[in-house]
Amino acid sequence: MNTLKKSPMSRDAKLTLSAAIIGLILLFIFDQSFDRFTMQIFKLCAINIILALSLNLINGFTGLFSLGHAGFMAVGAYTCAILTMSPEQKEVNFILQPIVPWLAQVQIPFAPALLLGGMLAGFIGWVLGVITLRLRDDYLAIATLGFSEIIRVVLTNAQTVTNGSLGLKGLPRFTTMWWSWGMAILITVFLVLLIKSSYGRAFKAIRDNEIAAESMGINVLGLKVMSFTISSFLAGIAGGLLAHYLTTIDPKQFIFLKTFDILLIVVLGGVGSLTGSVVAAIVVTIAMEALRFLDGPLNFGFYATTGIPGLRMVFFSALLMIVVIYRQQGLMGKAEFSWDALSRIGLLPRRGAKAAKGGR
Amino acid sequence: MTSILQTVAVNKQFGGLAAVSGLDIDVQEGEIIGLIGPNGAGKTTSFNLITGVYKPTSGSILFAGREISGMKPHAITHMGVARTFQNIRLFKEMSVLENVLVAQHMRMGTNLLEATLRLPSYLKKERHIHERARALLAEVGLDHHEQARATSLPYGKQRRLEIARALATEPKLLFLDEPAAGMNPQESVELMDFILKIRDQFKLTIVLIEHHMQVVMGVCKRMYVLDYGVTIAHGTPDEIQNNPAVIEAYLGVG
Repeated sequence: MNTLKKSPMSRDAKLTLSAAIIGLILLFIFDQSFDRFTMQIFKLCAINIILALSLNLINGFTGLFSLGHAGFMAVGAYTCAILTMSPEQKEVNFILQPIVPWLAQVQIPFAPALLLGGMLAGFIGWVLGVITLRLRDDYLAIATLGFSEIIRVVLTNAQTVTNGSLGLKGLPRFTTMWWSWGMAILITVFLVLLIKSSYGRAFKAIRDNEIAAESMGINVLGLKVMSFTISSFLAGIAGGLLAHYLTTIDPKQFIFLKTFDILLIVVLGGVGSLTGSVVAAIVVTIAMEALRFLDGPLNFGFYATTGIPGLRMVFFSALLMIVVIYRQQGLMGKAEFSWDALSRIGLLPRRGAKAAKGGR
Repeated sequence: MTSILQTVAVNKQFGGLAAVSGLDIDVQEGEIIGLIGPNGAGKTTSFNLITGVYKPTSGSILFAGREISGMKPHAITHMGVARTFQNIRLFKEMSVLENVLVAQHMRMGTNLLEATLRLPSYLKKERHIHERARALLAEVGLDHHEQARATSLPYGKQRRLEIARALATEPKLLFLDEPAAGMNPQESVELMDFILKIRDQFKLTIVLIEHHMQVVMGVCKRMYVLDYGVTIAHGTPDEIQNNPAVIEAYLGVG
């Protein structure tokens, strides 16, 4: 928008820079002061941010209803995990059948393994995209959902590569606070730049009116595949981070319900808003832990339960229903965070007011 | 004068229905051609065939001497064919300015890396398309609405925005599908002047579908009349007005 005309150090740039510095200092403080449990939840927030943003890129910005995210996560998680495990660990893990020889001796550092996990997920996303992105709406949703289950079934049965349903245990805890939040910030910045670029406009054009977009010279299929590939790449990265965060992975973690967990975040935050996804990812992740007491024994005074596992999911289901009925656009709708928006709702002095006082 | 568009025996079947049969039109560079006919005559289908939205069942379509039938719409647009839509198809979640910007994505020649890293080369292109978009909006009188949501504009302005968006793709041949629909007589007269103006200014060839006879007769040198998918007449406005087949198609035989 007007960002092109602004002087190098505008008010917004200063605010952004100060926010970035404060954010960095906060991360330092959190890293030092959080106990182990809090830190785990804090890291999970970052991973969920990546997942929600990447799902929002296809569902929200390109208008493709895809439900295959769990599959791409699984590809990233398994690739990254297998590549980083030491030969000894592999021997200990693969007790039913030994791992295929060409993977037995492979061990590479976390960073390239994470990247390769993302790339493999991205590649599979590209192939799947070329095949299925001719489909629309619910047909695409079904196709991607089916794909995600295929991945899970393959992981369960490829005993000599993935260790089947036994899963992989004892992965090194590589996902530190800096890794998870570093990636989350990097990916957020990348997506903000992407969405605000000419490509972002083209994605939104496809979402708004495919026929018109095509007639305006936009290679609709090509850009859909691009968006889908980027999204699956990012889901793969998140999967890799998740594997080394949990330190244990098995195929059951990546059932299609995982996709719906992420979809919940995207819908609550606002389909088509990056800001909404970031905020909702943090809120939902914390709420999932904070509401854990619902699963335990409850005493309402007139009625006491002995603990119903999964009751907190009922809370989220109810929340989702309320949102879908009364506020379909979610928390943010399609709006994004901006300093100007903060001025508008009165949290910051207006740009004009500040200039009038001569405060520069 | 050379032929910019030629269709040779183009047919389109939807199941058992022949929506368009034996479409033979020949458009010379710089002409303004009208395509008229009663509702359901196959006019919009013809547009959709030429712009690649539909694939012809048979026949060939030549644009500037090159076969374009069966090509994807975006590839045809890339060659220099643009269009507007009968039922306005703006990008409704986007601003007026963005609608015009997005139509320039194809000609920008950027790539993902350059765009997301905001390299100077990308910023230069971005500035260029912003300037061009603003100039086009000024051309159609929408320069004061650039930040407005496209769908918040009144109907007549939405039509003009569609034309600006089509012009942004740098076409040689422009298809206008009922540009005067919903306009009052005053606006229709302005539209005629506007069509002539953009033809000269952007060196366009224009094909338009229109029910508003004053507009068609006013700006078109030649016209084709379709009825039930068949071309029943073609010629100058005078010839068409006195053609018995046309009168029959429009009024029926008493």
